[in-house]
Amino acid sequence: MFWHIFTNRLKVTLRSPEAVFWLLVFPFVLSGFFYLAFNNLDNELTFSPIPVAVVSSEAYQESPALKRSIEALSSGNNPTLIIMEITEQEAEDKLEGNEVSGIISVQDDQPTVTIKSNGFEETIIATSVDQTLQASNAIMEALNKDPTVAMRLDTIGQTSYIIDTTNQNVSRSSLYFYTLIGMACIYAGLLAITTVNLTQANLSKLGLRMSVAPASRAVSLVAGLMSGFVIAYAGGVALYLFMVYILGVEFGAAAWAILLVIAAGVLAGLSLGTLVAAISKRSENVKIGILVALTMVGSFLAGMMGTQVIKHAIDQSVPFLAAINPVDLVSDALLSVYYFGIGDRYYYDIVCLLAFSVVSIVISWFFLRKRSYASL
Amino acid sequence: MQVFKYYFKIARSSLPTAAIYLVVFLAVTLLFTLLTDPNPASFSSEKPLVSIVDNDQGVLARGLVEYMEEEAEIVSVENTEEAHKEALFFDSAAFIMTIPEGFSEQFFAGESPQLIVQTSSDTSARQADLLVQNYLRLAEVRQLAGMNQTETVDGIKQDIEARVDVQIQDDTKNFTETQKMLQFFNFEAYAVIALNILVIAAIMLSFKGSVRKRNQVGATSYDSVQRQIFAGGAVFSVIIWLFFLAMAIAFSPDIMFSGYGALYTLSSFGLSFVGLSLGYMIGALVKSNQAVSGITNVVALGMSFISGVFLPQEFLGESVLNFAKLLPVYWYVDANNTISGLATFDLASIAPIIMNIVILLGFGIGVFAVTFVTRRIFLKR
Repeated sequence: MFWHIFTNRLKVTLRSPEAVFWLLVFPFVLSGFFYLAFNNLDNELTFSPIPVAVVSSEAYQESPALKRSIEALSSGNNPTLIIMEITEQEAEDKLEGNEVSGIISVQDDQPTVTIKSNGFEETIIATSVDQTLQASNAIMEALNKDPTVAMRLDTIGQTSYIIDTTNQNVSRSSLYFYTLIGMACIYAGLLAITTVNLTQANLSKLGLRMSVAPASRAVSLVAGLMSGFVIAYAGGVALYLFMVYILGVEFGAAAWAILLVIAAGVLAGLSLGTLVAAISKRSENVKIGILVALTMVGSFLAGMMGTQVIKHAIDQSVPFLAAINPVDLVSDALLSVYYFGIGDRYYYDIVCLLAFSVVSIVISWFFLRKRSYASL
Repeated sequence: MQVFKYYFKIARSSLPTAAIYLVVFLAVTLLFTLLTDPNPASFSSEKPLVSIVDNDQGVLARGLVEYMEEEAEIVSVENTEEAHKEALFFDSAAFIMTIPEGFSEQFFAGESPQLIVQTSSDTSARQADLLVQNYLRLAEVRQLAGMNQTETVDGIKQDIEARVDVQIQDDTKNFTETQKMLQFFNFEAYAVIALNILVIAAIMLSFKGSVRKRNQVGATSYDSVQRQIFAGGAVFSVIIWLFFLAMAIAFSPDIMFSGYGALYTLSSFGLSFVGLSLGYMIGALVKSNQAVSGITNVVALGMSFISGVFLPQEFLGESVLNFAKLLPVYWYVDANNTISGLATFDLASIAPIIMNIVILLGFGIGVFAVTFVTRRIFLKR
């Protein structure tokens, strides 16, 4: 009886346009949008040299210290500034047209920085010129103390005292794609809502017929959910493969860990759907509405809508909220695989997903078990 | 009028769902506006977020820490590998520096000890890097002249008094307030489009099946029925629009009762009209509620992502923005961005905003007309 219901639910689901849409169209289309939107993000978040206009007046040419320092900042492998030596008028036009972030000029023997409004790029320009002034001051005092310093000034700034141990090339846009996988997993709950409605005599005509059939409610429920799991899991894995091979999203090497996350996520999604369907007697549409709203809020809190700040704040100060948000658990586990490494954080997420599923199923069971009706 | 009245009877059954959506979207918009930083790290406040682990505690190291406290915003990050990585990934620190034991001593012994840093590689991280390099270069000069640690640190305190004269051309006042409201109204694009589609399409579904057949044999003409259904949707659309306006007013009455507020009101009206027509179109096309929620997600989320609702338009690629120009949300966000940057309210500066709102209304009318006509064609078959 189990296999009978299982295979037939499988067929019915695959023939329903809604299910196909949710599993095979929706996540793929949305990930295409994500790809468009975030394609450029990693570049935008990485520092690129700042265009600056330098007013090439006589006064500037006669300020060797300033000139040398600005040239030093705009040369090398990893320059801070890109300088354009142009006339004052050209510089002002370029600033107005946002082609440069600021203008460096020398007025009354004093260097001046002109910017449109405050910001990091502008601050960097100011800091660059500050450096020259401050260094001149230091050199003057050093020479006062020990005139022989003049002969050793060339060594200044030659030694690097900073060693950068950052793990380079981290794609920060990948988190958005992880939240999308989380969202897709939880949408498996829609299949659970249908399954529950079809097994409950008071919710649908088909449920009425099912309940007089010689199959126990538990068997038909489990068979329905299992078929939902198979379909949603296949959809989730296909989405993962699509992101890796077509969109080029970085996931890290451990495929087994990712497949496990998706399985746990789909399970949590089905459990959530079962719970929503079980505790409310309202129409299927209301239940779908609740699930969609929950998933959306979950995705929002997991950082999908440019809201990583909110995800981080929740992780730091309300970890409980993160622990009951299946979308976040899935995306956080995927982030662990990619960025933090498979460790405590990863297993914690998986355990939370499983616990979430168990608790939802247990609560649902109290609502769904042994119901009998005098009349329907 | 019968259809119009009946519309609200039918709507009653959809009200619980609509109410859930409304509450959720209002809450999410509020949260987004309150919690996200209006200026993403790379072009915002001028101080980088820096975390320092000082294992040395030497005079020079303490001087450096003091300098960074002045020039950067010091944040505390738990001193573990994972916490460091997390802080950098989520932008709660841009530059994490560990000063190793013996750094000051070795520096003054003429050796080259190494500060260990991890950065987010963004613009603010570069600023922090420049600051540290600057400090150490000043220390090098003084150390070269044979000064000891205390003399050096005291000397640098005077060096850093020297500052370049910075001229700022326009310093917009009220900056954070207008930016916050910009966040609010931009996010509203997602919320209002999604809400309109979910609510209006859900109600329109009830006019399908046997109801539609009965309507067809009724005395009211098809056009009239459609117009009344559209008008019924318009009522809901206006209600949603008013809810969001009320929240905006509660949020920042100062901005909302100014020229900025008036323009935001207009642009969000244009947006609501687009939402209404999209809701009408999707309601006409689809057959089930599941499909409505699916399409809502694709349409509302998809348009929002590539039109600069969640991430600023500056972060999107040129080609993406060109594509987004085919979508109404782009023009809405563009209008809002222009509004928030307004310094004066003369005709010349408002004209592009009005143009964008006209484009929004045009989109709405276009979508409605296309739906209306195609439905008629299908009906005749």
